[in-house]
Amino acid sequence: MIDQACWLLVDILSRTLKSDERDAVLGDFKDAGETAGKALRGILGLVVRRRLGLWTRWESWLALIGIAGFAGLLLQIFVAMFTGTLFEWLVGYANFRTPNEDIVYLVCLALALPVWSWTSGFALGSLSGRTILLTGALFCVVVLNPFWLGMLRSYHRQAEHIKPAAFEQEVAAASIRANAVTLSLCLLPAFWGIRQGFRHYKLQYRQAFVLGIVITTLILMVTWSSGFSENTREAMSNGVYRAVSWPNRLWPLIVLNWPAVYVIGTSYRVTRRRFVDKENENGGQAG
Amino acid sequence: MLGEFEYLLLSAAERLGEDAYGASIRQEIENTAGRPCSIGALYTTLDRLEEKGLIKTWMGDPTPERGGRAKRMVRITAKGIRAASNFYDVVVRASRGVCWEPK
Repeated sequence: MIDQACWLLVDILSRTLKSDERDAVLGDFKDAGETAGKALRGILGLVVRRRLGLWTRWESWLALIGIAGFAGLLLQIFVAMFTGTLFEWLVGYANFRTPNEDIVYLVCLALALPVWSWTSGFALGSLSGRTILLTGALFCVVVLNPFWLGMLRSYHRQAEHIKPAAFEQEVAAASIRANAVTLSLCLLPAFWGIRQGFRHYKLQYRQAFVLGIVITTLILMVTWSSGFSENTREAMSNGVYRAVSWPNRLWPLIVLNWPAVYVIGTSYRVTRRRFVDKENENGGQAG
Repeated sequence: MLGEFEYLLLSAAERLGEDAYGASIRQEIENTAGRPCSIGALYTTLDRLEEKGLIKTWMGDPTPERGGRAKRMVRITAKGIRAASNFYDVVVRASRGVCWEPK
């Protein structure tokens, strides 16, 4: 019984190995007449070594710290800003923007979030390799942190048996709608980008150039539209509140978009290599 | 410079010749070194040696005695022979004039 359970575990663990290696290792166990316990210890050791081996590549660490951590945290701020503004707009809460300014700000962020999420996901997928499950999950948790917190709060309220009044129900529905919009704007493009990056899809240089222009435009649009509330707040506080200057609003956006530099850089390298290979081929044929 | 386990593995592969593959190398190392050899250490070291160009590995044909599973065959390259030979020379030179008998 225990032996059977051990062999079952060996089989399950061996599925994490590449198919050739799995074949060789399971065959070796049979060849050597290994006991179930020894085989389990052996395969466990190999799987752990293989998993740790994935982290000897600098790319995995760059994906984990640079994108899932750093860029993810900055993206999270804009996700929270978008969800908050959309929620305020849906329920008609007053903020430091006029309704028209709210719409302009929301449109800017609604255009920017999918592009930024896709770019970060693409770079994450390209850099992570087989560590993608961990880095991808961490990226989603970090970026959608406000969403998870919202879910936790609503669960807590249900657990406390707090029956919301009609107005509160309306507010909760608006909050759910705002979160659903944010989820679809961020999560779907991020998954799509991760999938393309993981499958080693490379952008043509022309596509990368267009991406660069789009991202720069979006950065400028968000920097500009995020100034609406800052200026109003400063005016309303009679100078007590100092508005965040545009360079200080611009810098986080530039840092947040560093994965775009990686995506454009790699596409340039790939296109250049293809060009050189073609030149050499033509040169060889001419010779 | 090779590591001790890498040298053991290369020596076992060289001794086994055409019959060098995962399980046989592991058995050979256990017999000569007199200590257990984990499959994890064996396969990660095989990868490292192959990356360094010291061995070449390929998948053999499946055999019925292995439950229809293929062997990972190993052959030591010329570069591997040079590296093992250098390691041996260093150990011999380092051991010259040294007596390891307990005093």
